[in-house]
Amino acid sequence: MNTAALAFFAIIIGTTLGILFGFILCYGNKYLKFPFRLFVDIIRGIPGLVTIFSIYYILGFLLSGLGINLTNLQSGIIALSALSTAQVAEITRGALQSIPKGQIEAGKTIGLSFDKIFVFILFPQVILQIIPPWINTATEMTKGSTLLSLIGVSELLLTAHQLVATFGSALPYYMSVGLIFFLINTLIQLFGKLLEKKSSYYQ
Amino acid sequence: MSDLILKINNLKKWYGINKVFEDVCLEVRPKEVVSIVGTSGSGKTTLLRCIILLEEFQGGSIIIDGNEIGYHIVNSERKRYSEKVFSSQRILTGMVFQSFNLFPHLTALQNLTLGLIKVKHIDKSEANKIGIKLLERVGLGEKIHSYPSKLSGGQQQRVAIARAIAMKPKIMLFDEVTSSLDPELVGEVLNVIKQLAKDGTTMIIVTHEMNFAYEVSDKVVFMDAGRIAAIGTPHEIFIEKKLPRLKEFLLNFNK
Repeated sequence: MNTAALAFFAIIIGTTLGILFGFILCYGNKYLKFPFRLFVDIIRGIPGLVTIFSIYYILGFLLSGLGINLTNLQSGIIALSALSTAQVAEITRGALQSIPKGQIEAGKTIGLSFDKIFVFILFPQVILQIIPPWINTATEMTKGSTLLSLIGVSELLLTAHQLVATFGSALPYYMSVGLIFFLINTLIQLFGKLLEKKSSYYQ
Repeated sequence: MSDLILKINNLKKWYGINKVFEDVCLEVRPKEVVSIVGTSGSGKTTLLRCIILLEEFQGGSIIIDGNEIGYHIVNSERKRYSEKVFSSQRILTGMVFQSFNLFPHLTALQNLTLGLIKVKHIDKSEANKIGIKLLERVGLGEKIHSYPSKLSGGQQQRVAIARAIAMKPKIMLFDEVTSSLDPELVGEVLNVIKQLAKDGTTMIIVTHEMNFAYEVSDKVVFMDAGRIAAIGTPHEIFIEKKLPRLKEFLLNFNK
């Protein structure tokens, strides 16, 4: 259960922040862009496991200095959210940059201000474009949640480890874990297909 | 003075250190159809883009229906208006682009009504009525709920024309609107423009269709190397063609 919930939260947070970051990466001025660019490049540039450990140990240590103690689960969610935010930000930036400049100009010529161009022209087109790569990120995050067993979050894999340690016979437990992930990701893919179909009028 | 819908005085446009044009002057009366022809890079498109404030300009003035657009003088200093004023001044004119630029996520009708609803604050049912009427006028009554991807280039361009007309601009600007169309689709778009001309729409048309320009225009402007090299009636420009540069240009064109 934890696995699905973990991935679900991470995907929700990552999608929201990622789209926001993507817009900043595309339209922010260079000073505003810099910290976001740095964040996205660092997260995307280092292995996910290193990010998870860094947040668990380094962020956990820094926050404990402020009197805030992160649970394993909390730092796990932060780590997965950071991973998905970086992915979605990059996808969003790419989608935005692929929208022809003529779209903004056409919006201007009918008197739309930039915020209206953003809401009625750019945003809907970006959402439609990022659906397929977003599905990919969502399944990656679900699978990535297994890495959190290494910081002691009792997600599926860790639970299976414990069951194996108690009862022996590894095969059925690990196979069940595989099957559950396969089912979750199949559901995500189906959901994605549905979204793609709904939005295919546009191509 | 007051019988002019557009007056351009000594317009100057630079991109960094590159001059696009200088000292461009042009007067357009209501219901007049003005064509602009000239070599590529002569500044025709940029001139249109200045009139609808998609480009900034560094000197001179553009006055549309008595409103000086883009810039004003504050304490004898030339100041650019705010984005908000730019937006309101842009709808004095309407523009049709070479590449259509329809909004792909909206139907033909929604392309037309977006500006009516969000800029002119007309309510949706009224906007739909206006939109349907205009789409019928450009011969697309059957296609009101089609998305742009399902329309041919010629149909898309007619939607784009209707979208611009819907905002009731004082002047329509056409920027090489048939250049990216297959030859067999050019006619239907030109016919719509001719009909608009007949209905008394004020228009400035940048075009490479010389026969069309000859037929539809009251006045033809020949631009060359960032200047207006000649202005005259279609007859003066295309038949008399007194200027050697103009003769050469038209000769190259008819090859």
